[in-house]
Amino acid sequence: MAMSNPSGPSPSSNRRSAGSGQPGRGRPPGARGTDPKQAALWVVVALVGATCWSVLALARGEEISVLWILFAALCSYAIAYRFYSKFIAYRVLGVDDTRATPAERLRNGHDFEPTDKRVLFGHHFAAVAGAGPLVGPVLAAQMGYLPGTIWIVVGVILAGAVQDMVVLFFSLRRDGRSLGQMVRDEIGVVGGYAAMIGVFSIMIILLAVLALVVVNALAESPWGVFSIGLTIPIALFMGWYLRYLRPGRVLEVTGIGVALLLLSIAGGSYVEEMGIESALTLSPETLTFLLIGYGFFASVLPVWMLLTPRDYLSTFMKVGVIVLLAVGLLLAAPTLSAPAVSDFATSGTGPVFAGKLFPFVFITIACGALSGFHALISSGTTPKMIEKESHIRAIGYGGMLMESFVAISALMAACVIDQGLYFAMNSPAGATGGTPEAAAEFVRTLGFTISPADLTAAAASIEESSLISRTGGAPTLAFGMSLIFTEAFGGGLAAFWYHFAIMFEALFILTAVDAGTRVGRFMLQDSVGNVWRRYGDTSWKPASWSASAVVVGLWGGMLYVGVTDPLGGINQLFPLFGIANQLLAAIALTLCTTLLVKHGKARWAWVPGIGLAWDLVVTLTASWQKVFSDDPKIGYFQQAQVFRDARDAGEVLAPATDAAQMDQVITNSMLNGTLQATFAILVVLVVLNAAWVCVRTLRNGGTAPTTEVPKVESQLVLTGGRS
Amino acid sequence: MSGPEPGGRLLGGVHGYLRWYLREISGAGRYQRYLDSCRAEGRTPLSRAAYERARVDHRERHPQGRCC
Repeated sequence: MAMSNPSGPSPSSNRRSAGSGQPGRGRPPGARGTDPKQAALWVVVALVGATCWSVLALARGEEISVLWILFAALCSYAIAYRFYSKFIAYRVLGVDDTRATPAERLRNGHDFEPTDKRVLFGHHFAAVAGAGPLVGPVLAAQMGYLPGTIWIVVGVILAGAVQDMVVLFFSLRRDGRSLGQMVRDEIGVVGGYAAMIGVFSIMIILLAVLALVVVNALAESPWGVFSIGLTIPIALFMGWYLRYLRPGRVLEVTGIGVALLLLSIAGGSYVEEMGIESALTLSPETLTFLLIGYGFFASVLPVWMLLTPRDYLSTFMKVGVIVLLAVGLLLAAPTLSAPAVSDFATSGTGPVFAGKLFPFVFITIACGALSGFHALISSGTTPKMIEKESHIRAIGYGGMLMESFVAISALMAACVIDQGLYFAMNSPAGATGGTPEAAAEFVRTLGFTISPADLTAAAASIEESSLISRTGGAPTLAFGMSLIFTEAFGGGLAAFWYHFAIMFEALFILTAVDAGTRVGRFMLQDSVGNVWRRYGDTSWKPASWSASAVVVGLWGGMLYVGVTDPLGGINQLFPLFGIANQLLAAIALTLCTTLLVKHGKARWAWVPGIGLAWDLVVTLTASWQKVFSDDPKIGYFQQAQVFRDARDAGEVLAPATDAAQMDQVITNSMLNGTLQATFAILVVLVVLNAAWVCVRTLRNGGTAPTTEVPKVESQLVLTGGRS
Repeated sequence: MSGPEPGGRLLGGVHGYLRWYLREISGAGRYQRYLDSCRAEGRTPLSRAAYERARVDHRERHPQGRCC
């Protein structure tokens, strides 16, 4: 079948097409010899990267510009993409552009549709990048800038991008099958069910933690509530416009939507003059119930009304702000306030999250380095739209490198903030006491100095009533971005930029909540539909409404637990979220390793195996500590025990203020500990099942039958773009 | 579709590229390609509104997750 041209304006240069003598399987294009100019270029890139890393490694106690980190990361990405991803694609996986992809064979104009590589890169990136790479690095900045930087860059090169690309490849060879289906087909029923339960429950935790970030960003912030609240009527208007007024005019309506969004941010500064400031000053509990209600309706309303237009807004804002942040960092070139490695890295007593650098930096930063959730996207929509197998390199590996760059930018934005302010913002309310005086005193005990007046002035500079204990990462990132943008672009617009950044993060998160609730609802209906067929009908209202209510109830319940947790919800739930996300990555990397073995490529099993081994060491160590540690700040069950003993002795332990809060801490800690243990057990089940399959395969001659679809010769000729 | 024809002249330029990219990534160019394929196969195409509704209806039944 000849594909209609995707109408790229670029020339047909260096283009490989099926049946035209192009490189076959396992042979990279242009692999005839070494071009001296190319070689010289890569030597220069390597030297620049090595210089930047050396400066970061050797500099101590002096001012370091963020540009050293920026260029260290960019040079590392370039080298990894050029050499390692090419090696994986052609030597390890053996991509074959003469083989028809599912998009070509099963083309239906909907989900199976050959899509230009650059366009699909945009779709894939929009689907994988959300608030995660922005929030995790901000929290991990408590350990200093260096641990996070190294993990984000090395992690993405050896683990995260490898996972995304290899899962994409295997799903591509199986008609776009999902991660859960592939685990069931290729590893076994036990692993398959464990993976299915894991995926569903991890999604619930993810939605709860993301929603918690939004609640913490909007609580007591009338400006933020005003701007974010207006996104709902704006999205509804866009939906109506696209449905009835100008169908298909997406760019036009998105332009209108973005303009309205910017107006709503600017309008937020007038909430006091409009007399609605007190009505929009909402407590975290009120916001929680509003968000739960919103999540339910967003899930049951037709997608054209709210979900699709919000997705357009979110995608365009996402790309726009990321570009703006990169430009801002280049122009402002701020110096880092954070140390290279803080004392909390070794003491494990940091207030943002408990535990030492190992393993907790590696689970706090999940998205941006290694995110299991990406495996769901890489085995979802993307493989059904790929034109040629070799495109997995740009889309899978390249897309994840891009997300890693977002994470590095977020880390830099957090590390330019004064350290006293950073810890006043990110320590739980139970520690800071909530007032400038108490917060300044608390920060002093950590070894940093900031006066109460400076804390008040920082909040006033962005027209917020307070910045104390604005945990969750979003306010810190927004404050850092406002500093960078104000420095880079001038104009004294710090308050606008702060709320612009909050709006952008909340928009991401609400889109993820909308879409995640809907996906969770479909998963639930599908599972129940196996035993009660009618329930699986996604258009049957009683089923769709009740399944939505269950999904929203589950993440809403976790959210409420987090919001009201006396110990601080982010402090308690973020580790659970990070570990859960990376346990999902362990499942995905286990699948990749197993499939290489089954395909007779055991000698390449180390490629996903490096990431898998590290991920298992990190996540299982972290899980072990969160479950069994006798330090009550780390181990959930020990925490529950300490509070239980105190309660039985009639005492009240800070930060709890009464017996009811003592009970709450005990219940929450038991729940979190149980969830943590369950996730780890599910992953261990999948890994053991896979290990058995690998051993059996190796004993039986080194290959085993797989569900890979047989090769069909590709007829697709790409003519419209650059390779 | 307002993009250049296959193998056509080099438009180049950031503006042309961006215009094409935004149309493609937003899906705005899909209807034109649908019309082209209907014409080539001698089928009667759906109206723009009906085509867009069919796409949305498909999305209704096949939700796509958004990552963290």
